[in-house]
Amino acid sequence: MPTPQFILDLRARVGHDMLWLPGVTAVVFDDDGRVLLVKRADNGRWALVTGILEPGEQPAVGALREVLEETAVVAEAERLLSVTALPLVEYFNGDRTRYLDVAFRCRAVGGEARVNDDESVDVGWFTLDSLPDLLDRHREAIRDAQTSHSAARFIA
Amino acid sequence: MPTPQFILDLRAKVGHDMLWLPGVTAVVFDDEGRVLLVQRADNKSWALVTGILEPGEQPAVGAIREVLAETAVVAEAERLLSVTVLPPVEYYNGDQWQCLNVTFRCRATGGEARVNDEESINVGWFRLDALPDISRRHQAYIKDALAPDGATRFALS
Repeated sequence: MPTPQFILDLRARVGHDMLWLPGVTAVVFDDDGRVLLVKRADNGRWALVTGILEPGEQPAVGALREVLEETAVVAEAERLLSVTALPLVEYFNGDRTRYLDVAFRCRAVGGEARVNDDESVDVGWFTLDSLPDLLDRHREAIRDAQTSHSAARFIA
Repeated sequence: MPTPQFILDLRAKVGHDMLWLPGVTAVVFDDEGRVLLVQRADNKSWALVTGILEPGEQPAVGAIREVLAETAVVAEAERLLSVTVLPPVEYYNGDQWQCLNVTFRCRATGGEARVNDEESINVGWFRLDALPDISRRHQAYIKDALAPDGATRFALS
């Protein structure tokens, strides 16, 4: 997704100051147990679908919106996996943001995975034994999605 | 807690505009199964301990910090109960907020419950069959905390 309008509005007032925003991560499986990944346009790395919640948006709704926008895959949220504050992100333009990330396990129910916006240069389904190089936290989210623990993980 | 400094700094730049911020709610039980409530100074109603997370603060850490700040009770977070979007609110001064709320079940491990800051005018342990009038949302959180270990609740729409 492009930068949400509410953030552009905030940035016009606060400049590069740190913002503290709710974000989402989606671990989407298909019926063959493959996981949906996007190759990010900004850094060329494969990653889970992530995004920023609009003000007042339910996290599961935002996660599915991001999956659809970035990959054209229609999905359902099955389980809330974790809620974690992520390390500070400093963008190339000097903007600073901290995200509270809410991660979901989702199941694809329709659509054909494809590059669907300018955030990604590639989109694909990967078997768990042939995952590309991913951020540690994305590997951890995929592991969370495979466990049977029912309550969300958090950092005490 | 008083209004966190980062919010005062943000407000100095954005005025009353809507802020969308992560917050926490704590359902704290003692060994007798009683629940910890505070009587809020702002509207005099009884409520669970709530608060706003500092930037980058882990929600469970923030929940435990708020419990200690408001009630002097030392607690541990046991289970993440729900993640919910609260309705937008407008404060008496015109500030607008919307909160993404993370609720935890916690267990008291020390301290004596008392009024510990200016946010509350009363603090107490309540048996579940003798709860004062609290919001329906907080009743639902207590119900979540009493359910056998289960999935973290979230809204699908």
